[in-house]
Amino acid sequence: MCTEQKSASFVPKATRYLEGFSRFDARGTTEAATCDGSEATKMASTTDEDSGKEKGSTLRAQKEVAPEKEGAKNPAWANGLKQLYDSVVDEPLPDSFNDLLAKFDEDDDDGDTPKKGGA
Amino acid sequence: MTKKKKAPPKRNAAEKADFKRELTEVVPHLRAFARGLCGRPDMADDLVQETMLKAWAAQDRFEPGTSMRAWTFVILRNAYLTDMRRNRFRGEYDEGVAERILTAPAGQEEPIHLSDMHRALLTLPPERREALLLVGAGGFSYEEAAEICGCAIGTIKSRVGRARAALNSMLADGDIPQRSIEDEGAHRAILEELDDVAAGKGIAAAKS
Repeated sequence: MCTEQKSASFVPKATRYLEGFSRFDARGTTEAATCDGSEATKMASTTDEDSGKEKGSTLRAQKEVAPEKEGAKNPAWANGLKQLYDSVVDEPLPDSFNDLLAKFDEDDDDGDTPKKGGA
Repeated sequence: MTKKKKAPPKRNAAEKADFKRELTEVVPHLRAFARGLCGRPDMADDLVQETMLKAWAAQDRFEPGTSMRAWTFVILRNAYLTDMRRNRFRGEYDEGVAERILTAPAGQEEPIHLSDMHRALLTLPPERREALLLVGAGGFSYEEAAEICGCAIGTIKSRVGRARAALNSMLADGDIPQRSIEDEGAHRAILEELDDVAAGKGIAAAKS
């Protein structure tokens, strides 16, 4: 991600920052923000370690990172990965989970927490 | 999880209520993470329940104000590694579910076969799969993911990079190993890797 931003550094930073947000949903934002943050620090001082590593991994990932930023040809799976995750997050919670949560309270009334966890 | 510290003073009722509320809120995320890790929905849910029990039992060690999601993910991941090594999870995945979940990407020109993606994901070495799940799906920063996995940020970055590269090439070439997880040899290899992963890393960062 950062590499892409760097190569396009003639674009006003604010614009790219906003792009970052429109491109990622709330969950992805952390990553975009992290990237921007590290670039910001680089402008003041240089964090070679960070940028170096970033470059190393983006070299290989370049193909997918670049289109991701431009939006059009996002590698389908990058989206799919989030979809997979989000679809589970959005599932209604099976009753067994609520039962378990309810049990916590009961156990609590008895003064003891469930012992099942531990080791 | 491995060490059992003497419990700090018990939480009062209000604090317990807070804890329970926060725990309840992250359950859907635990389910999503677990599903990505072990593929099978039923086993993933077992894993989440195990995690909830452990989290509840260890609640005195949770620092209020810190991320419940990160804290519980550490517990879940350790439980997963333990269970994997006990061979309770085989990393199988439910093709029907994957298909249903993954087929309908809105507004995408070329619907990917998300079942392919899921299958490809499950062929990744566990530590890369986990890193990609945390960062690419869970939205954790590299820092947070490193914290959860108990390793350096650079390690997470490289795992994510490798995972992405592997998925890219698998999905681009349509070259996804057929159900390699069910293959005995591959399965054994995965378990061996898990031993490595579990050996040093992960447990270190577990504040639980």
